[in-house]
Amino acid sequence: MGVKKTVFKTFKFILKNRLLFFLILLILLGALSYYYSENYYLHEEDPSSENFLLNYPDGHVVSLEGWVVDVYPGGFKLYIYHHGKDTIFDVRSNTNVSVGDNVFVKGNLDDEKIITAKKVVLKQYWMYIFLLARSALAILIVIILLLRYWKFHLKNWEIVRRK
Amino acid sequence: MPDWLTHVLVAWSLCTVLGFRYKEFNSENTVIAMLGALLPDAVKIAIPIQFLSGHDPSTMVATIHTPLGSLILGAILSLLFKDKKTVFLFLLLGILTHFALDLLMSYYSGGTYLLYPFSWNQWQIGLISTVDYKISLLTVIISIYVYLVARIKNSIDNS
Repeated sequence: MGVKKTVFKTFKFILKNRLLFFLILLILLGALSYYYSENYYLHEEDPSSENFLLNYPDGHVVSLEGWVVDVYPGGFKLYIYHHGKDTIFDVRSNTNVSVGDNVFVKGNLDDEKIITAKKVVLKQYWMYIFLLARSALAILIVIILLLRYWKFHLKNWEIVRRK
Repeated sequence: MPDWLTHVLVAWSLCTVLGFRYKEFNSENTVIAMLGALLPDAVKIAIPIQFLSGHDPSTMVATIHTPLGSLILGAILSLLFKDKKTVFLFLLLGILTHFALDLLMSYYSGGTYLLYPFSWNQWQIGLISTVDYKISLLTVIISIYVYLVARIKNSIDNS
C-alpha cells in the first residue's frame, strides 16, 4: 500500500512539475527517434534511397523518389538526393514524364545501375506546386485562428484563451 | 499524406459537427484540433533543416510521424497551455484524424507505422494518391456544407 502511494505521489508530482514532465517527454521522444534512426532500414519493404546510394543493391527491387532531369525514348534520368549524397540514374519506363516532375519509382536495379521500373508514381510539377500552395494556405488559416482565439501570457509563460 | 488543407478541414468539420451536440467543441478547442491534425507532419521540419544545413535529419525526426511520437509531441506542446488536459485531448483528436486520413493513402512503398515501436508493420489502404487534389476539393465542399449548416443552426438558436 505504501509503495503504491509513493508511486502515485511521484506520478502526481511529475505531472504537476511542468519542466520535469517536459524533460521526461523530450527524453522519451529522443529515445524513440534514436531507436528509429538506428533500425528503420532493417524493416523497409525495399531498399530506399539511403541504402540505394550507399550499397547499390543490384538485382534487387528498389523504391526511390527523385526528380526527372532528362527524358529520352523509353526512359528518363532521375536525380536523387538523400543525406547529402546525390546522383543521377537511368530509369527504363514508358511512363510519360517531363523534366521537373517528382517521381516515385519501384523497380529492378541491374549491375549497370539502370532501374527497370515496375511501378512509377508521378507527381507532375504543377501538382506538386498546387499541393504546396494548399498546404501553405492551411498553415495560414491555423495561425490566424490560433492568434484569434489564444494568446501568450508572458508572465506565466503559458498560452491562454482570449475570452 | 493528403495535403494540410485536407487535414485541417477534416478536423474542423468533425469538431463543428460534434459542436452541435457538445459545448466542449467550441471555436478555441476546434483550432487546437486543427493544430493537432498538422502535428504528425511536423516531421517536415527536416526539409528546411536540410536546406539550411545540408544535413538530412529525416530519419531522426521520422518518429514524429507515428501515433506514439505524435502523442508525445502533443503532450509536450500541451504543456505550453494553461488548460493542459483539454488542449492535449483536442490535439489527440486532431492527431487521430491525421492518421485516419493517412491510412487511406496510396504509398509507392510501405505505409504508416501505426504501432511503432511495438511493431514495424506499415499500413495503407491505398484509396487516395498523395497529390490527388480531388480529395481536397471534396473536403472543401463538405466543409462549406458544414459551415452553412452551422450558420443556419446558430441563427435558429439565436432567434
